[in-house]
Amino acid sequence: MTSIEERPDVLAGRPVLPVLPDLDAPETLASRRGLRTQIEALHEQLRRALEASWAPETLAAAVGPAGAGDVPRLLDLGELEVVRDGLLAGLEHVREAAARRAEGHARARALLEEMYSDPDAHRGVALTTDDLGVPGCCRWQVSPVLGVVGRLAGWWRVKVSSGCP
Amino acid sequence: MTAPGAGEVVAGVVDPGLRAELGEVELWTATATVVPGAVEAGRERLGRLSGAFRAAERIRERAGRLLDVSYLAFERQVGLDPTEPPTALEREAREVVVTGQLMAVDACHDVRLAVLAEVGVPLGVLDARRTRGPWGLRPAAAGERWGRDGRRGDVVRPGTLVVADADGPVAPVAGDPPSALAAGRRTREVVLYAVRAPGMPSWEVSEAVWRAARYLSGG
Repeated sequence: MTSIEERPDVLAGRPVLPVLPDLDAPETLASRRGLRTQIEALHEQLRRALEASWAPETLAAAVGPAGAGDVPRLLDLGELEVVRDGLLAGLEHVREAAARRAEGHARARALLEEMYSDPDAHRGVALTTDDLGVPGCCRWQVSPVLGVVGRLAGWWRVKVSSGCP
Repeated sequence: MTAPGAGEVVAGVVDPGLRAELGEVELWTATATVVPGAVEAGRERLGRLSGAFRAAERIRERAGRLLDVSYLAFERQVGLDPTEPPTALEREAREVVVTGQLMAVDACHDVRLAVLAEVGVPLGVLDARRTRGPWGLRPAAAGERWGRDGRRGDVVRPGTLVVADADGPVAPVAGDPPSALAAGRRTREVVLYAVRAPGMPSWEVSEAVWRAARYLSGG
């Protein structure tokens, strides 16, 4: 007898185990707890993503089907999966919106540099702190020096207005 | 076993199935008598808090809410939408970002608002004439109605997670109690309660209830 052959004397007393898990097993407390852990982690990620990019567009992106009930109750496995999937989708939408917003800020900063380097080519262009993604109420606008005189003479500069109304 | 005295904070009984599903959920309650000076003291307290309360910062940190983040996760776990506050108090309190001050209404409202601003705990206040202890957390059974007089209150949807007293459900675990059971402007004997969400320190919730009882009773 070689070492890889089955030994009937050893196998006789062992329980017969199924080869594959029973995929139709009913939901259990452990399975729901597992999903709840996932939901908790996703919820925290979503909160941090919103905190990092707090703006109307990211807030709108976060609104999804996750948790749309009107009374508090214990959710079954299927409902927890819907909440989890909604959170995943919401998180993805928020990250996309945040990335678009960051791109917009980068474009605005580049435009501000161009406004300073060549005001004449950017006559009347205005940017706000919202456009740049920085706190405060500043406004940068390319305007003529000395009003009509500067307009006629082609003297343009970037004027910074600071302070909230 | 003696009944708890006024202002004494008591832990409620939590349904074992609920705790198995959701983890360390707790209920803390206390009874208090509202003293006549509580209205003025509450108004002064909110005035002081308004000067130190960084509402915009908190709203940003907490995904648009004023409660501690543990409660937002808890609301998500029980099927609610945490982007919309379940209580009128919190919905109105968010206006502090616009108005710049925490608005005083009456003693019970003001103490709830103060606790919300100080520690981010959702405090509920019931009229003590319409409920009697002990209180606990459990899912509502089929056919139950809000309040002591089962014929008068609305039917509670079976499975709703509720704060219940000896006679039946008195409030949802997240949200406002029915107006017939909630404490109002003229209520003198009140029951304060707060649910501890998993992740929130237990002592912080029990202390919030204790502090609110002291505020109302002039301690």
